[in-house]
Amino acid sequence: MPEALLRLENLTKHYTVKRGSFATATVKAVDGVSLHVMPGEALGIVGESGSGKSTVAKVLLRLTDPTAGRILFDGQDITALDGDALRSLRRDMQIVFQNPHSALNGRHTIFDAIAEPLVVQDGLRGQPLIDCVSRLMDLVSLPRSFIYRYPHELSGGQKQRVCIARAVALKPRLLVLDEPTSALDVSVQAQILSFLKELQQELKLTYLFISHNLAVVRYLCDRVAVMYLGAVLEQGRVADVFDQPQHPYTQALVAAIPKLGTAAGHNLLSGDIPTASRMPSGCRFHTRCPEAAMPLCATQSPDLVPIYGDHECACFARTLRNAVPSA
Amino acid sequence: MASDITSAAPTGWRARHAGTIRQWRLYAHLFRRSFSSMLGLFLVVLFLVLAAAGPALAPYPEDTMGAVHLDNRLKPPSLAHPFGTDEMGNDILSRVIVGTRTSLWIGLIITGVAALIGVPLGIFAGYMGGRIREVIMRITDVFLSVPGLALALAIVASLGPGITNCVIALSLVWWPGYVRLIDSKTLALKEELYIEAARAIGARTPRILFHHILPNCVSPLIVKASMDMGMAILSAASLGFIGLGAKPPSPEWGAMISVARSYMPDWWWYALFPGLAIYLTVLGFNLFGDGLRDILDPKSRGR
Repeated sequence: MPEALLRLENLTKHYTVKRGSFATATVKAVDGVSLHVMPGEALGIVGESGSGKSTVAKVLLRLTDPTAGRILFDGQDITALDGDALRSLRRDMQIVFQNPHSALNGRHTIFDAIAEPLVVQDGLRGQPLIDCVSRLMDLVSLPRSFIYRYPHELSGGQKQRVCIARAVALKPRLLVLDEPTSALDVSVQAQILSFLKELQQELKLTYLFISHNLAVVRYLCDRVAVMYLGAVLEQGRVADVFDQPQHPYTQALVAAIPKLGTAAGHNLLSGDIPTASRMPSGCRFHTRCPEAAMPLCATQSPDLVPIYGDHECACFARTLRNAVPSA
Repeated sequence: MASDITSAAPTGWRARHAGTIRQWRLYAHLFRRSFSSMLGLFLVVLFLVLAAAGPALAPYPEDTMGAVHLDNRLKPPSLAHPFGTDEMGNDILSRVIVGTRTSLWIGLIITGVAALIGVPLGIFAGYMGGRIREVIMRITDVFLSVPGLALALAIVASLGPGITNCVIALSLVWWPGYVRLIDSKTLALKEELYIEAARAIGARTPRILFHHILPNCVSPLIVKASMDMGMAILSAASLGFIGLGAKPPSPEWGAMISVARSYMPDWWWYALFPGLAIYLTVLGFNLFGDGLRDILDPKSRGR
């Protein structure tokens, strides 16, 4: 089995927040996530708002420090990397943020924005820098006449292309895409998505694609991990997870995709995701689980258990049901 | 979009800075619409012209260097002496005009030194946060808790009176405002996504501070500095008035009023015209600063 490009082992990120003057609370944004991304594949992470998807991205890129767990990039432990070693690691892993409108400094031109990684990492300047920026603009199909414009003169889709050009400028091996299309309007979303798919093949990139849009993940990704309240509930190949969802949460997510001709709304979840500062006891999903919960669900937290192949699911009821026929 | 993708990158200064030029034309347009902004601009320009060409414009340049015309003492305003003459028989108009340059230096040095001390401290405090910020901000608070002029008074008293010491003292009490301003602005800016994006690319802290945060602090900085020019000139004149600033024979507005005080109210013109000069200068810089704030920071516009 080939080495994974990125491997997260039991990654945990807790935030301490103040409650009033004396009390503090712990927010478990990411609570023991283990994932791996193979070279050249696209892993999707789906989950609703507040499930810790973006925190996973920030932690694995070392933009914030994890509370516990390990991050392995190409076999190397990068959990405690700092200084120049961390700076040169940034070359290999880059991120495209959700909101291109705030990810670009309004005082910098498009040239400044795309040139920044080349200046910071390679110390490029003068004509070679201009040539390099022009090539990147061609790559993301931005007209060269935009080079000295300011971000506010561009549309959302064009700004996101600038962000993508910035991210791929250093030829990274891993590109984290944190909901890259959710701030754009629908027609532009489709453009950016098909462009991302082409780009992956052209540059042989590995994607970690974060989204709450299942259809988008299905289109772009090979494997998918479903997150809820800071933990992975189910993961596997996209076709397996979406066609035969095992976890009640995934089933509810899949059922919520609007389909032509069928009445949506059955098996939809009620209520909101609990806050990560007051985590439910036992299985983190049992408070909203549409299945009749067993007593065990309220007391113990289930682990990811293989179903078949690399399809894994963390649910006591599923494990029990799958165990019965084979016994 | 595909059709103009091959279009060449713009060349030439004008084409490359088209966006910037458009922005400045918009600023100019907004500024022109406001009467008070234009009045401020007029007063500031007048002040700068008088400061630049002072001795050349003064009708009696020798009167500013301690000449004595005892036959001409305390003459009321006339065609020969539009602002009248003082107790040495010197032309007050000449002395007011030449005093402009002194005032400009005072204003520029005080605000300049204050910004040079305050801006790096503020940007550092805001970005680093934690202990470093606590230390810097508490020191700033100590300076802010004493009225600036009172503290400057104490410093001048210990250094000895004189225009140089007066400027040093005022510079030393002026910087805390800049720390506060830049610190609060930096606190807000460092949460911006583009700062995180710069970190993700591997930019070092100095680059983030001076390439990303500082340019976004420039507008409030310009606004505060232009208003502080007027206030610094007023403070220096106040110190001159109580005899701690420029020494009386030198043509400094505060020092002139200080002497003129004993000739009030019969020889009113002696105090009135230097006072008017201070008033119009402070008013000009305040209106100008207000106007700049309205265009550079439109959200603060009171409507």
